[in-house]
Order: sequence, then structure tokens, then C-alpha cells
Amino acid sequence: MSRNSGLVNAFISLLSPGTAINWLSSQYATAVLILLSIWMGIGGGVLIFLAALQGVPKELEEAALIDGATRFQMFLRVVVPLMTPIIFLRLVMGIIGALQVFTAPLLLTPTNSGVSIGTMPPRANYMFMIHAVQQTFAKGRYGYGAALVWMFFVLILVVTLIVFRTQRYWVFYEVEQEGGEA
Amino acid sequence: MSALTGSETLTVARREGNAGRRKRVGQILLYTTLVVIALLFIVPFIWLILSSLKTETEYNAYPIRILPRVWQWKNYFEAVEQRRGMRGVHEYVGWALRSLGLCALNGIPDVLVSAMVGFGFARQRVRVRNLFFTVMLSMVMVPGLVTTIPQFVLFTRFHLVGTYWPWLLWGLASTPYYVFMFRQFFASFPKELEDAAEIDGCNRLRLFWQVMMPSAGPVIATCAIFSFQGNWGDWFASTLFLTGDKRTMAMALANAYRDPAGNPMVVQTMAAIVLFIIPTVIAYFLGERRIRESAITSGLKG
Repeated sequence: MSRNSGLVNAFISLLSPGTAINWLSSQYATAVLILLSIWMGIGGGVLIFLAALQGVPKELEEAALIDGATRFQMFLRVVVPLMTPIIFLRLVMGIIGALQVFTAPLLLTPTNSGVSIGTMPPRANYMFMIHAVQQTFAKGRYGYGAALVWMFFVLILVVTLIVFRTQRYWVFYEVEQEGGEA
Repeated sequence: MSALTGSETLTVARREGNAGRRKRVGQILLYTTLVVIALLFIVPFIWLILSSLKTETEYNAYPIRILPRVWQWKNYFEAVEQRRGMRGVHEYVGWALRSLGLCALNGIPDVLVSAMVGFGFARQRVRVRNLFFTVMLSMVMVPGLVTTIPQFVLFTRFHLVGTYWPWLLWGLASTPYYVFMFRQFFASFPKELEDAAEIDGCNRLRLFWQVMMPSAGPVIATCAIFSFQGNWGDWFASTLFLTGDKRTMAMALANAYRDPAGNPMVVQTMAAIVLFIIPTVIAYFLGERRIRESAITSGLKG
């Protein structure tokens, strides 16, 4: 994969020739992976927040504005607190999804022969699930692979439960959710 | 204004002028940022559309060509009808109809059941509710890697491989993500409405159907969009469970566009991908309009 065949590098070369960046090298790989993940996830997030925003009663917004709040204060003190359940949802699902990232690092690996399950990403992008899948299917170590994945499940569960515990400090529910115990 | 003296009028006017200018600068900054971000998202799609209108030589050209010399509209024609070694337009329509059918078969029960389960998790006072919720969420935490094969074995034992049954069953089993979304929405639903309904002698089922669901329009639409996108774009499950004549659009895109020598026909595939995302875009805009139109009031006038 040539470093010059991409769109961004085409623009960089246009502005300052000879400075094209090898985006998929180890140095930039994680940054690019993060950008790609944000780019892929943001659409769904915006949609969910758009839906959640419709659930903020107009009377409350108007009341805040009448009481002299600026639009930004109103957003910060009325809208955001009412949105916390959905922010929490995105946080939990985002953490779970990000921990399990698998396809994106493979797609971001420069190869000459196309991406396959045995493709080895740069060290920086060698994520847990890639290790698990490669050990399982490329190396045929099924038992070890399954053990890795179950261990990983426990780790994700612990992280998620910790995040659930933080609910009581910042997530506002209309009905009591029993102190945020999951 | 007329009551003010000349200098006072001037001060007021200047103040308003400053505020107006500051506001305009803010607006310019805001719109510049928005346009840059929007470009970031739309450029890959423009690139895709341009690629679908090039010849294969132009597609592979280095240095890159942004615009095709001659717009190759025939790529679209070939993507739909004139695929070499293929059976023409009715085969293409078949893929599309099967994909749409699976979307409905899975999506409709999925969103309904997820709403019910989410309502239960948010509003039913059951002792082990949170334990069950954790168990349900664990289904997302276990990587698909370990659940795919047992699932395949299970469906094989039930003789459901090669049929559309898995999609209906998945739908009836609900999706944790949607359940979570409905739970969060219903949990922030004004409690006064629930109390009022209860006092009026409304049972839980009617509370769900006639009080909660009519207000849940935005969440229903969001889940419907996600479900449609997920099913329409899904390649993995359909590859796993369906073969041959039951092929869906996503499966076809992955490997149907090859010339007799087996080489991928890139530009035709690009054209097919552009056609492929049109239903998703339509579904998105239908759903998004539904989300915007259903802005609710709390129903509490105080």
C-alpha cells in the first residue's frame, strides 16, 4: 500500500511536496484507529442523543430561560442532567465496544495481499481480541483462545460494574434504580 | 427609543452593534467548524460516488484522479443488470427483497420486544431486576467469537440453518443495546404520569402501551434505524446461515462482482455499494423525521 495513494496525503503533497505521512506505520496507527473509531461511532451517538433531546420537556427549557439563564447555562444545568441516562448508556456501550475492537485495526494494517484473519497489525494496534482470534484460528489453539476470551469477558464485566457504581454520583433517574447497583 | 436623548440612543445603538457583531463572529466560527466536521464525514462518501463513476484504470491511477474524465454511468447499469455470468436484473432484485425481508422479520419483533423488556427493567419493581440486567448486558460483553460457534451448532440441531427462522428468533429475543436504550428512556420518564395512570386504574400492560409507548417515538425510531442498518448491512450472519438462492444483498456485494477470470470488478462493486447504501439513507431520513416530530412535553402543566 503506497503512502501516496490516499486522499489526505494527496492534499498534503499539494501543499508541501515530499512530506506525505505514513499513517499506517506504528507511530500513527493508534491515532488513526481512534479517529476511525470516532468517525464510525459518532453517527449512532448523535442519533441517540437527538432522540434523547426530544425527551427534554420544553417547559423546563423555557422556565430556565425565563429565569434568566443563558442558553449555554440552560444546556449545562437543565438539558445535560436530563440526558445523563443516555450519556451513561453511550459510555457503557462505548467502553464495551472499544475493548472488543477487532476489525478496525486489521483493516488499518498495510498489506500487499489483502487483509485476512492472520494479518498482523503494527504492535501499537495489536489489541486483545486480535490476539485471541489469531491464537484461536490462525494458530489453531482453540482452548487457549477460548480461555483468553472468557478472561477478557471477566475483565469487561468488572470494568462495566465499576462504571455502573459511578451512576449514583452523576446519573439522574426519574425512578430509583436502587443506588446504581447493576 | 424616542424617550432617550441623543447620546443615550447612540450608546444603545453601539452596544447593540457590538453584540450583533460578536454574535455574527460567533456564528461564522460555529458554521466554519460545522462545515469542516461535515466535510470530514461526507468526503469518503463523495469519494465512493466518484470512484463508482470512473473506469477501472482511472480508479487505480497514480497519482490519483479526483474527477473521472468521462462519467461512467454504465457502471450502475452493469452493477444491476449486466454482470458477466450472472442472471440479470431479477437476481439483483431478489437479493434486495431478501435483505428487506430479513430487516422486517428481525427488526419489527426486535424493537417491540426490546421496548417491553426495557420497560420492565426501568419500571417494574422486581427484586432481582438488576441482576437480570447485568446478565443481559453480559451477552454484549462476551465477545462474539465464543458465542458464534455454539449458536451455529444450536441452530444446526434445530435444523434452522439455511432458513430465515434465526432472524425471527433473534428478534423475539430482543437486543441488549435496544433494551438498554429503552430502559434509560423509560427510567427518566416523569413518574407523575405513571402515578396518574395507576390512580385511574390502569394496569401495567396498558401503562406500557397507552402511556409509555406513545411517548417513546424517538427511541423506537432510533432503534428501528439501527436495526435496519444492522440487518441490511449484515454480512456475517447471513453468510453463516444462508447459502445459494437465499443470498442477501450484503453477501452478493462481497463476492458476486467478479469477471470470468475471478478478478474483482472494482468499479461495478463501487456502483453497487452506492446503490446499496440508498435504502439505509432513506431509512435514516424517515426515522430522523420521526424523531424530530415527536418532541414531547412532559404533559405536566404546573
